[in-house]
Amino acid sequence: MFDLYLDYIDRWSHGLWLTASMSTLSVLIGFLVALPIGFVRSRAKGPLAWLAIAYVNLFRGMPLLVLMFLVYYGFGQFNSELRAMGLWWFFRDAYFCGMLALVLNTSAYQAEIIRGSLDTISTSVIETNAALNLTRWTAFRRVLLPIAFAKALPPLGNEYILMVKATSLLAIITVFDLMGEARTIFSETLDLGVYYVAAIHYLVLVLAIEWTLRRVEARFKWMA
Amino acid sequence: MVSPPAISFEKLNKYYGKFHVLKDIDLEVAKGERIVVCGPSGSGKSTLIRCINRLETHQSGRLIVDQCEMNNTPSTVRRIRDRVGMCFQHFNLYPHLTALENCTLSLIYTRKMPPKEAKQRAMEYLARVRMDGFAQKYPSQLSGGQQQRVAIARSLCIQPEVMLFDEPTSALDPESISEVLDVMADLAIGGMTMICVTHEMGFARKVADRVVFMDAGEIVEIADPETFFTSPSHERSARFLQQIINH
Repeated sequence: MFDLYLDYIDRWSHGLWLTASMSTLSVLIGFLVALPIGFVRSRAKGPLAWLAIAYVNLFRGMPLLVLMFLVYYGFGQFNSELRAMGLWWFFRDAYFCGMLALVLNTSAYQAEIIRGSLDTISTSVIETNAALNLTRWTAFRRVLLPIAFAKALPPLGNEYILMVKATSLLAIITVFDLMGEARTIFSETLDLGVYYVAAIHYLVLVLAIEWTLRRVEARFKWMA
Repeated sequence: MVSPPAISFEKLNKYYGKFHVLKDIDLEVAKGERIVVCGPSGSGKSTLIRCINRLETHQSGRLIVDQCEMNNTPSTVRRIRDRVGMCFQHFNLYPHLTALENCTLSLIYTRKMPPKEAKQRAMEYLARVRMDGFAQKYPSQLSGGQQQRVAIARSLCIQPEVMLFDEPTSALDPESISEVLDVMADLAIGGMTMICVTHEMGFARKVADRVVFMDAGEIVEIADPETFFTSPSHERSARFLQQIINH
């Protein structure tokens, strides 16, 4: 098994890098997308709220793998139209398509996490904002957002870890992440031990993230 | 010339749905006057003072705060809230900000004060409530009484014309109660217009100019503390006082 690792160390490192970077980037971009959606879900009524619900239900209701197929193969059918719109460079690339699918998926989940934490902010905080005459923006940016973020941190960390593992689906749309590299190494060696090596990679990556998250959470000591 | 009242209620009515919470409230509070509002729970005393800074809306009647009539216009509400400070039963400090940051938040972002000046002012008021040594602490690191004193400093920072206290000591242990009441008494000596909902009868006796007794949404009796405590003119206030003394 050590041979499987050492002989292919370049590929493993590349796969690890891709898995770590794509999951991290998708979670970060997903957070930025989820923020306004979660806020609308928590506070708004009417058409905007319906749009937010539709977004969440659509991308949460679809398996990630199906979403990847739709984006990568499905959009590929419209290649002439996409070329005309100047978007083909994006949709012909499995990495970009994979990234888009990951972002759509995780942003739907994260929007619900953010909505939940905004919803649990007590009315006394809102009343205090009013009594202190804070503007809407200040109340959101300086009070609601930091409190909601601290509350959301544990479930967001959970979502991050889920995403790390979900990226293994990328291998199926030809991305050479950890799982993608593992599959090619297997096809050359026909040694099932390859998948143990892959599993250990995932485990170590997740543990490292868990350790980091614990540090970050500890910084919010005022939550006590 | 008599200066106009700080706050006046004229035939003010409020309903929660069908429930009539405030019934024909008439009350004038002079500048610099200290009012204690008391009464059994559910009598509408908190609701009454929460109308003053529009945490509650009234349905009929007039409410004039510092010569500005309360209405639904956001700019009016902002103008009035700018002159009214409020302390809550559960302090309501922002948990993610230090004592100092709690005080400077609205100075910096709502009143556009330069941060340095805001800090200076906040430290002044924290010193006044004897909390300047705790400026960098988070609320979770402070006792209840300390938190309430910071909350008082936070309200004072906006230099309000009127201070509202909504049962500021009901969530505190006896020791903390006296440290908060001391700060409030200091404020009263300084000439601040104050309306306090409280069951601290000792405080009412010592500090209040008038006591307002409410029951079932009505103002039953308004009297100076001496008269109110020794010879209440109304049977309902007498019964309430009995209960408080005997408990």
